Amino acid sequence: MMNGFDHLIHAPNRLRICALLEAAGEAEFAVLQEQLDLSASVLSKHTGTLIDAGYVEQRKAVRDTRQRVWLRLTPAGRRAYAGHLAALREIVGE
Amino acid sequence: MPENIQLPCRKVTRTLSGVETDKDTPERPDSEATQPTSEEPTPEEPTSEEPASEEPTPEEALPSPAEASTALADAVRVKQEIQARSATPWPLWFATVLTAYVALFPFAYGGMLSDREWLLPNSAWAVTLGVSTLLYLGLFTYVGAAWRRRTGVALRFDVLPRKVTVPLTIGLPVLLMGSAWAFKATAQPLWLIAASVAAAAVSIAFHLLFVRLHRKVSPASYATA
Repeated sequence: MMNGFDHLIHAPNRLRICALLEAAGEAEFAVLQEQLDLSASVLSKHTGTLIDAGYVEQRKAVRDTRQRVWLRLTPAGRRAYAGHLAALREIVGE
Repeated sequence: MPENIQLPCRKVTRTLSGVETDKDTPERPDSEATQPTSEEPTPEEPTSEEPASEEPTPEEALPSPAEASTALADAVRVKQEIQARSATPWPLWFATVLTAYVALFPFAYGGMLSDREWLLPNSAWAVTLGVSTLLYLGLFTYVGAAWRRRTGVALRFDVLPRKVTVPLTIGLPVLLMGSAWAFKATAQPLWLIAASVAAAAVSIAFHLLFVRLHRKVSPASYATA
């Protein structure tokens, strides 16, 4: 097994979620939905998987009487994502 | 009692990935998202409107170089798109406040430090500096929170490249404070005027830089006026 390659992150949508959260620092659920063009249910499923793995954490905040969910990578998630990108680069031969 | 009445029924199936699918249920309309009582789906409360389209990756398989290259390119594209959102500039009124603050700072600090009274008593300059700084920090807190609400991303200070931000974080304080000390040493107000003009120019230049960076790749949906 290649060092750093993470099958959990490698699923296309989860890789994009990690890429977005890594770049944004923290992002609202609706922003992820809009940027990645995913339905709420699909996004919810993938973020749930990442949360279960300890890669993503969520924070709830109320805005305009509505509850909003903010997501961000955990330190473990950042490490795993960085390791996964390094593994991908290694496969590509960069 | 009439017969053969068809009651609306929902087809619920279970996919390989364990997600229930209701094919008769349409996607949640956008208008529903604005209902004050509704909550957006959270990872703990998944809605089951459509299945996840991704098949799990086999544990043993590694992507081919072409697949890995595609994945990397996809990650880079997502990163660039969200960076445009992170580069959303301050509203014009706050950019004006910021410019006015950095333009005022050398005069207020210089007047406070001055050995002799310059235009106003030293204490008056000190009060001016304190009040303007408190006002600026208060507005910054307000506009920062509003910015986060509007963009939906965290406020970051590393959006611009380091070669731009490092000289700014070192150079601007040196410019603002150094001019005041130079004024104290020489009693020449030209130091303050030059620092004020330069700081205002830097503030305007950075605002325009953020406007340009933001417009470069941002979709029209959240572009600021």
